[in-house]
Amino acid sequence: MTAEQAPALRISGLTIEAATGRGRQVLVQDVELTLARGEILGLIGESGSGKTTTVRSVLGLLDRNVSVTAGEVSVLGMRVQAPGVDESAKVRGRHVGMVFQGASASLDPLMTVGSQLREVARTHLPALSARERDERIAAVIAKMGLPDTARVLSSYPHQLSGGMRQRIAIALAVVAEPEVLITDECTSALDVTTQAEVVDLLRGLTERSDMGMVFVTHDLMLAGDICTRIAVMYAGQIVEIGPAREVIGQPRHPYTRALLAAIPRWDGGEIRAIDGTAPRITAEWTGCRFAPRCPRAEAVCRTGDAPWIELPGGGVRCHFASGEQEGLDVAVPAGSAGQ
Amino acid sequence: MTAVKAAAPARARTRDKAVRARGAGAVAAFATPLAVIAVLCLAAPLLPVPDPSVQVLSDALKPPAWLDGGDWSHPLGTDHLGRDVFARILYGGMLTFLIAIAGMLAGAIPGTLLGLISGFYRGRADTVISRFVEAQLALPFILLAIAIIAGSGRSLPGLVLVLALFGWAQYARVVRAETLSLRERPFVLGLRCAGVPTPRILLAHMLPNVAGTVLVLTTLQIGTVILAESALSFLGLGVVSPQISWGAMLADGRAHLTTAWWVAAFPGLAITVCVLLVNLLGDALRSWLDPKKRRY
Repeated sequence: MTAEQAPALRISGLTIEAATGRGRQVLVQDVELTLARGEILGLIGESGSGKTTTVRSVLGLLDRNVSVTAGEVSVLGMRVQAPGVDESAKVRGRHVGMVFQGASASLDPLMTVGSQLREVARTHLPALSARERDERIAAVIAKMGLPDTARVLSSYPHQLSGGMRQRIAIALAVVAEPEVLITDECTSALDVTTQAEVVDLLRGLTERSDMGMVFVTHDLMLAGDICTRIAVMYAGQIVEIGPAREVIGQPRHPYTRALLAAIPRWDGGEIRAIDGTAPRITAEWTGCRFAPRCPRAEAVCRTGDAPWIELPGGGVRCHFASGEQEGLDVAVPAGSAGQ
Repeated sequence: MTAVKAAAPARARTRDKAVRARGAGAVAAFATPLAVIAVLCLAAPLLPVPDPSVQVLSDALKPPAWLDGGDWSHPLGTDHLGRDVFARILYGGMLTFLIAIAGMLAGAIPGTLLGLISGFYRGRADTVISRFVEAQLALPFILLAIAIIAGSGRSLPGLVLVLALFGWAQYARVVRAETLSLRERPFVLGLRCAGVPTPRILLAHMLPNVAGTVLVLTTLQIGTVILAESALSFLGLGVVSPQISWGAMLADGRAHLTTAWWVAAFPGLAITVCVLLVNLLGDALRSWLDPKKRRY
């Protein structure tokens, strides 16, 4: 398969384990994801569900006690991660850009914004002349909606606001025009108006180029707003994946429903927290991972692994997903599946 | 899309400047006299002082000018061979400063690089480097110095080597600790994500970020190195006559301490004043570069 036909990002059967003092812990299991160019794929789930671990593995940024134990990650058809293989240095910044949580602190405090952008441009675009690179940088800064390019480029990070730093971090990630952009909770530290602007900016970036984007967030509504498809993760597994409209409008997995029911609503409807906490998964775990917290778990859920059921445009991991739509509705209060 | 405005930075910068200016005052207050002393010592050959090595035995052990029997041709008196103490302090200062700076650099450069590598890469490199640091810090300095100098003979390069061995472990330890915390900062992750090669992250980003700490440590170490050099020269392991250093002058004057105190007292005073100034400068630099006062 040539690079042109290959999906921008393909994760298949990815399993990531951590060696801890209490034995091996499974952080991510059997994750399957494909990202086409120009597509925005949402990856949602609560803290500790494995979203960040999954996307960090793409760039080989896992902690030293954490390793890929099965499956592989490929970018444009090039294998970058597999057990014992880490070729991610080849794609970092060039083919895969990443903006992460707290990205406004992701600039070197002792270097001007311009020097940092020039450094990254020089690393990835050695064929261009210095002037062409400067033009490229000015164009990227302009795309970020930052006024007064010259002043921004000569500023140190602490002289800029959080929103501006976030835009610079995005500029750093896209200056080499990568085919994949990964954003990990990149809007969660911003106030609502700035967040809306940054989300617009990201959406614009994917529309204007054929860059694919993985949008990691725990904000379901935000994901529903920006993404083409959404994958929901729970305890290291993908439990549901499908077109954004369907996942938010007609969630099939009890966990997705519970997440939607836990969103505060303006009409004063009840907020339903999910009881308990996500389990720590080891190799000995049996049964559906959501079973201990699932309102409609039955005996079969605790003994057998939940099967992956393919659906048009996606799939769901639940014993009761096939043909029992009515039964599933029990878990969710009427009307909370937001339209 | 709306454009973002930069408003607050201007005011914050003014306040930064005020805080910095106060710190800068203290730095200047200690740096200036130190610079004056250093310039006087380095410019000694150009000053109208007697040759420090000319022996006039008839003028031996003359007291300082303001005491009975002293005169202004030898403002700080003469030693047992009739050599001018003031001239010897200036010329001795030159060598003392040169040795201190060379010894400091010879320790600071490898120490800083090893600390960076150890803290950044961790793992095996860290284990090896850290064990060496611990071994180095566990060895008594004078013992090591005697062993090396006894083996290689007294020479300036040998002395600088000994001082470097004495200093590098401190730098390695402090820089390693600083790097360990620095490498977890989000901007390092950002640089890695952006595909910046690791050696470049290390040299272009980590190094400038630890530079403030290294600068402070360097200043403090210069004082220690001056003392170490003096101790070695005093023990007869340092510079060889006719070269002069303050420590060697102390050693010369020891025999006459009861009859001619000035021969040992003035170089001793010079050492004390310089080490004190250097240490105060180090402290002033430390509070000037205090990360808590930085606005990021």
